[in-house]
Amino acid sequence: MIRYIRLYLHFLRFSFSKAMEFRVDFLFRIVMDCFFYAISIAFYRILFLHTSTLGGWNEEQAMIFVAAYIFVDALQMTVFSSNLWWFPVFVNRGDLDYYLVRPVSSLFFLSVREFAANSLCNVFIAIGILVWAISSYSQPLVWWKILLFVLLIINGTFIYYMVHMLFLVGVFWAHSARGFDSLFRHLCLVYERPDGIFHGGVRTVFTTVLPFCLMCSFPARLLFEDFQFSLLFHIIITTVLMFVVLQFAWKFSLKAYSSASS
Amino acid sequence: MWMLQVFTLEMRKIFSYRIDFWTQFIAYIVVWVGVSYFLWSSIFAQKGVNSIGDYSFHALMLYYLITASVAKIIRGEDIGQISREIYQGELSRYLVYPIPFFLYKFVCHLAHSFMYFIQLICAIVFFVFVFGLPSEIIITQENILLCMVFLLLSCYLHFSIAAVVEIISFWADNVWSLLVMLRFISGLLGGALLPLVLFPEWAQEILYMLPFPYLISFSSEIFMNKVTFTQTYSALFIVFAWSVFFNIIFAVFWKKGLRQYSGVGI
Repeated sequence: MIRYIRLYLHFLRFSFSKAMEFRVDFLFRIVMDCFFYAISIAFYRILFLHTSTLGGWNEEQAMIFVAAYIFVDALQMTVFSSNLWWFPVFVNRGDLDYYLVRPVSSLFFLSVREFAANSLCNVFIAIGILVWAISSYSQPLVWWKILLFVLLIINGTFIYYMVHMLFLVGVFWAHSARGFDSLFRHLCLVYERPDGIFHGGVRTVFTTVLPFCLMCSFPARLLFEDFQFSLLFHIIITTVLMFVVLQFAWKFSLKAYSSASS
Repeated sequence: MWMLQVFTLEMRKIFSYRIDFWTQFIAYIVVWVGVSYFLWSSIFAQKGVNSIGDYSFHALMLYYLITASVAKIIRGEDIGQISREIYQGELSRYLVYPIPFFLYKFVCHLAHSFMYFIQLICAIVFFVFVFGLPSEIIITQENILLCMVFLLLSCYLHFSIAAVVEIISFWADNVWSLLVMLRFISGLLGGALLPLVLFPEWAQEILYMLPFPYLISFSSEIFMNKVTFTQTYSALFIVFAWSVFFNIIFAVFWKKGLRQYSGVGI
């Protein structure tokens, strides 16, 4: 474990020095994400001009939910996004060899090697939006629920990464991840909407097989609705199952890897 | 003549990845319209009304279907094509072509837009066949024709804006973020996320002076017979004015950028 932490600290150092080489891009990325945040908030603000509740939530609750998905977006952009962007390229070029021969978990190495230092600023902005949304909430919130909410949206980021990775492993057979990746990005719209709007089979899918609703909606429910242990249990079990499935899928996919460049 | 040849060549390139092209489109439309369906059915059920902002639920779904396709049509090719060519030094080969770079790239862009246009027609036919046409919407031949003309102008306007952003790469290392920003802004202010009639009135007054509504939502509104001829003519004038504005900026940036260009990557 200590070895992995030390390794990650090295990744951080390299990533920061790399990010500072492209300062204009550094700034552009921060501004780009700020636009995304502003547009997300504006979207829900306009929507609430025409309705008093959405999926059972009022505007204040929806704003906490928006802040949560902004935070998940910022965190996944910082920790995982760049790595997953390059992953299909590595598979096709045979560059995966470099990761497979390291004396650490290849999945870990591949998933967190590039730390997007420029997006780290956006994590702080997202935290600011989260603090603003929670402090603007008119009803009293107990501290342990806030703590649990924060832990669960961090867990939501991890679920986001696992689902994305599961979509991308198809590249080992299809040789192009474009279709899988684009499908995942379209589906990401689901985690930006309250789970209360979905019903029937679609809801079942988005809370189990493709657990987009568990990333932000369920944690938000646990924050401002009556505490339901079943909801917490659902999140924990799904996270563990996703992790197991990802480990299995990774090992299985590596068998199909043929190291294209060798 | 060269335009037709470039157009045909680009179409052939697109057809070589036709399965990818169609599956991506279907996934995009199904997810986009599907999520909008759940979102708006929840709002309509909560309010217990038949229409919101002049749109019935049925018409709203058609609106989302059209705007989702129009967004694809105006964006055409993948973002970052020109900037990548500048950054990698591939621009040099276009400079020796005996045709204007801007026009050449616009024709390539149009080929992609044309494919998305075919997808739009298929999507509308499918929608009308399965769900029927919303009762309050009367589609006339004039509307269809006007919508097609407007779509072409929207394509040109979007290309002009995007081209200005792309050639910033003469000076900056990576303009991808700026192009994504343009996508975010045109999504909200162009009416792809929400019909513009749902915006506050003061915002609508400002919005209709900007180029964004004319990129995505206006074509849909023409098709759905939601704008008058006077509004359409005034929109044509605004689109023309913005196109001229961005073309001038492009010309200035292009001239200065070429002096800066070193052909790195050759």
